[in-house]
Amino acid sequence: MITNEKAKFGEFGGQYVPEAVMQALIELEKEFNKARNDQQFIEEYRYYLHDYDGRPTPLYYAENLTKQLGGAKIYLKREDLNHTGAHKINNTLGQALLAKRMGKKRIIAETGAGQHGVATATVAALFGMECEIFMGAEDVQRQRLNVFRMELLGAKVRSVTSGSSTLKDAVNEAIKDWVEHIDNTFYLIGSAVGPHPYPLMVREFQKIIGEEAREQILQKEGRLPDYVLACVGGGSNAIGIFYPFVKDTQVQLIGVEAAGKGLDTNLHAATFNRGTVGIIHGMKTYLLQSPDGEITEPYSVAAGLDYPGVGPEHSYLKDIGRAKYESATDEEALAAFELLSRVEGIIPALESSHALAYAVKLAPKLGKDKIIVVNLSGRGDKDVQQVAKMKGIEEI
Amino acid sequence: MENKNTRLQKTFEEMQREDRKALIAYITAGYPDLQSLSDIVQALEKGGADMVQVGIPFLDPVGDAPIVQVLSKRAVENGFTVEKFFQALKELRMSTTLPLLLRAYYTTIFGYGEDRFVEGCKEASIDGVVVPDLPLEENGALKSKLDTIDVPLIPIVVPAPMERIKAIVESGGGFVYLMMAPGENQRAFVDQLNDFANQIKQITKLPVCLGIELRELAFAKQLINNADSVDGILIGDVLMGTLQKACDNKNPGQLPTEELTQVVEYFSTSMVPRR
Ligand SMILES: Cc1ncc(COP(=O)(O)O)c(C=O)c1O
Repeated sequence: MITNEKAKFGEFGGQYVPEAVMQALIELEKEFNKARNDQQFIEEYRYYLHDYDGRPTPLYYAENLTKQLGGAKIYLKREDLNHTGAHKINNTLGQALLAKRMGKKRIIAETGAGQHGVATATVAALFGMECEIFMGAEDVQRQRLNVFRMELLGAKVRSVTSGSSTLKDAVNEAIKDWVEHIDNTFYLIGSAVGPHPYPLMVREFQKIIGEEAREQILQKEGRLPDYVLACVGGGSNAIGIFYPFVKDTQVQLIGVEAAGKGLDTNLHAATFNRGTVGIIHGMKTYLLQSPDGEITEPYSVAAGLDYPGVGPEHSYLKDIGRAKYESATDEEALAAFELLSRVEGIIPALESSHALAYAVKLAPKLGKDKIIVVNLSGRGDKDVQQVAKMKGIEEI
Repeated sequence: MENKNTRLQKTFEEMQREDRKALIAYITAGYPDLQSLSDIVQALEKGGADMVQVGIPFLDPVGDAPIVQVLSKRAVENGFTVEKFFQALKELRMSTTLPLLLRAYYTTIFGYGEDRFVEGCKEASIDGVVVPDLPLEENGALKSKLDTIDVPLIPIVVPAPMERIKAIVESGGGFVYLMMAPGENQRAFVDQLNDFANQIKQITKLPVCLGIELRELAFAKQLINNADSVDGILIGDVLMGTLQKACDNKNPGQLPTEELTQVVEYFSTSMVPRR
């Protein structure tokens, strides 16, 4: 028996939160359901996606990469061309418009490496809202450039020192702040995670990726692809591109998670390949945890992938066998990062490089008549310094 | 559960006869270590606590007091596990006759296994379970398992539409935990609290207790003496603060049992009859 069905994907998802948070979620769910059925709201969202963000993003046939790998045709969904450089803005635009519609004057968000924080600060600036970003104290130190970016955009960055001073602690503090300031504050979650209605809402704001990709491939190839690949952190870019293909059962959906230093080490973020079902941030899903349900620290070279859980809809897609979840190591991702830069002149985000790394393995095994679509979730400008350092190049 | 003479019910009946509020002493288990649990609880009992709430440390709480987070982290660093905890709880049960409430996050319960958790509650003869992250929408499975061992899931309510409060209260038992953040104006808070408690009492016969963080001794005392519509008050922050300060300053291994007793006494001896 599954209870609270409207909030779940199979047995996953739900609302494992204190009663005070429930009050906020009930209001949010009500307003979101009204908005998603309101043509005016949808048009406003589409307007900003088009005129401000630059959608639709192209579906690019990566001919050089395809030739180099010598197998299936590879298409790249160019989410790297979004304003602010990643798919994240699709979601922050949607949620900020909802916040505006609800009359909220203040937006708060959590951020790890700072990508979601920047995307949130951007829309807060656009809509003239007060903005506060919760960031683990460790991350504030590590990501000084993004902290400055957020401040430049007018946001306040709150350094979180509770717990282990990282992303998961920033989430907890943001929720606490939300409950205390529910009257004027909107909590803008950055991935398809958290308690209902967030995973559903984020998917609705990200599914534009898959809708466009599906239409574009039909136009270019006259048929659906054989594979759709996306990297999986919390799972928002992946669910965004997967969702419109879920009913097309001939299309194989493959999520690629971070294997870090290897699945047999303690340094990875391979939630599906190494995790078990548990509760994190208000949802039931696969996660990396100790036998007592304490969350264990994930690791990946890509900051956006090092999240110990995963969106509940992915857990569901995995369990019903509709999607598969593979992994790529740091090393494989770095190789793909360099490869795409060299052969296509596109520097991909380290996160997206994980999906590419899997394509590099898969394409040569397939015939030239097969088609792979890779979601290129973001651009790699943000990662260039880190990669240079890893290659032993000192000050740039 | 109605006809059972549970420890919890007996305590509330006794409170009513004596016309006073129940003092619920709350501590996080595992700090400074699990072996100290029984001694700490004895100190609280000696000071006049009417019930004891023991919390399972959890590292990712939404909305726990900072002191609870600090002690939880230490407990886990010191090798706390839920399995060892239930062992300690069984020993604790043998050393006190007070009602024992167990506070655990559902994350922990699910991770440990609901059935094992319920078995542990049964073996330690727990009198009530408090789960802060399990709202009405999700509590069905755990509640039906706790029903089989006659242990109530304590309902937690915040100011909300009455319809919802009613559904929450009816989904649990034992007593009602009322959560309400004190605003700037402490005097106004006492009135709001009494109003809210009275509203809840119109829809349930269960006792209503205040379960918020009270960091300031004087404010806590003021509440205890003026919030006449509540049947009990939770004291946690000040106890855990005392425990931490003493354990950090003194040589380890020496529990501040006298100080803990004194803090509880500060409240229990000043507790004036209602009205
Ligand atoms: C470019 C990029 N891709 C992917 C991710 C991972 O997030 P998600 O799994 O929600 O798409 C991030 C997160 O910061 C990112 O910046």
